[in-house]
Amino acid sequence: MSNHFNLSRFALLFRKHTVEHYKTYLMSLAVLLGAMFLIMGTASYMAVSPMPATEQSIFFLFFLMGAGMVFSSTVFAQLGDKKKAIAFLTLPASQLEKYLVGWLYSFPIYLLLFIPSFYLIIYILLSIDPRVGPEHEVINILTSEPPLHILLTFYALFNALMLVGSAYFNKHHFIKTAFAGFLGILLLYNLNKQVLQAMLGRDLASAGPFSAAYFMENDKRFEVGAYEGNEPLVLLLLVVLALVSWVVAYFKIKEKQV
Amino acid sequence: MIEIKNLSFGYSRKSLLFRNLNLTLREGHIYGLLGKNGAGKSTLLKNMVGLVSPMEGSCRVNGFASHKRQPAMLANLYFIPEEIYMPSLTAKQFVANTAPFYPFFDQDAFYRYLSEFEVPEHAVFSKMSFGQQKKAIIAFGLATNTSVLIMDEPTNSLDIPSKVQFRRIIISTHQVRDLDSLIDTLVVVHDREIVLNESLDAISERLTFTTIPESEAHQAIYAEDALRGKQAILPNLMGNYSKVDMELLFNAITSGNTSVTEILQRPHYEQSL
Repeated sequence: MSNHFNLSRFALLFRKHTVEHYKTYLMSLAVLLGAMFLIMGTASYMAVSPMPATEQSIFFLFFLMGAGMVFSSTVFAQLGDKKKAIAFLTLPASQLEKYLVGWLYSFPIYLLLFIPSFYLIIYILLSIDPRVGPEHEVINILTSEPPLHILLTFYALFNALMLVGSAYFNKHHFIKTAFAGFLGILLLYNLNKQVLQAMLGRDLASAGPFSAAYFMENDKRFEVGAYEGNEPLVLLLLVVLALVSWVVAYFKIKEKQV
Repeated sequence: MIEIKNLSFGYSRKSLLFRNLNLTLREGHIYGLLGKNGAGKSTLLKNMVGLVSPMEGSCRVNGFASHKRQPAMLANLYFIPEEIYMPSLTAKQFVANTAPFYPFFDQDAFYRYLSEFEVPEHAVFSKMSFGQQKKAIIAFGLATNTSVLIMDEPTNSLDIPSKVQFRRIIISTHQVRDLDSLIDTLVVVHDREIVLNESLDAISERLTFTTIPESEAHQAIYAEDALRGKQAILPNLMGNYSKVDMELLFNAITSGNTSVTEILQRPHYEQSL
């Protein structure tokens, strides 16, 4: 039997994980459904007209990312608890199989459960809203803005970073990972700005990574950048970053010491 | 078999718990690991299980580097830590989902041990008392039939009747010779080294554990005050058998008395007939 990956052992591990966690996962799903119903319901009730598809897509983005990041940050949180970590690490399955079970739950399974749940709440809210006519538009995630492939790419990156955080930190995984993420963004932004300032030989008003450099001269705002048409490149970079972070999360679990 | 070679480990490089530690533990024995608080007993066990990685040297279990935590090694090793985690499952559910990872698991034996320990089969583990949980995991560990079973303070948190049950089960499963000494080989860790790794038989062949009058205390290698005279360790010159007093032996070794370990480490020559 392979020491890296064995399908029947993986199936056993998946079953064990499911049996031990399904109650918590179902409760989390119920909380998510309740939160979506309350927040979107309140927003719809307060609005002068029924929720348009554009607003629905904003909520879709907000809940997909928010709930996904919170859930992903809990997937390997057991490694922060010494007793649970010992049970997890000494179970006779490879570290790759253990990692893949967590990844499956936090990425494809999460998406497969989240999307129908979101539609369910939207349909319930629209069906109980007396202002909604038969022609009212419902979000189509395949055609709405931002495009689904961009959403999924961002979700992949956030999921990967949260998996790293859940394997790395011992407590308060979500808060600490989010904090580390903000620090990283701040550092990257400032570093990028410093490098660009040195390259252009002048002070810049702002200069975000993969964006334009802005500066003021004679009360006029100038924009210097070759970013147009770079979208596929930036997207590719995000995919690569997500892949690297997934690999990092795997090695964090593989090398975990208790 | 567990083979530790030149193992150095510490939670920081500045203060190592072990330096160049060597130890071989063979199949078919029950080893007792003794050491003072903070000597690193649990850390040594963690090295064996692969929960920590050695800074230098190696630790191999049945030929596998333990820190790699490969399934082939883990399937033949069961570790019961001092503090355990039990999921919200009944014994039946736990067996259905965890036992398939252990190829030699004996389900009948597991339920037999549970009944001997008086742990209810249908109760949810996480709702049991800690002592009951510990007994359930000991029963599971014994039923896995792995070639290596490592228990860290297994009887901690067990009440007195449960400790007796524990001894009885170990005796029935491991052909231990008597109730008092489940352990057949003693390993003592002290000052970052393994200072003793001897079978109790070998120890009793070389040392005598007895109570002597105060006036004869000068003959002893090591002695402690007792109610009647002195509890003492003497060289076993006559070849008589005496039961090893592990506490006295441990105190002698950790007090800095080197005579005891010197006698035990001397080459042993068997007398021909």
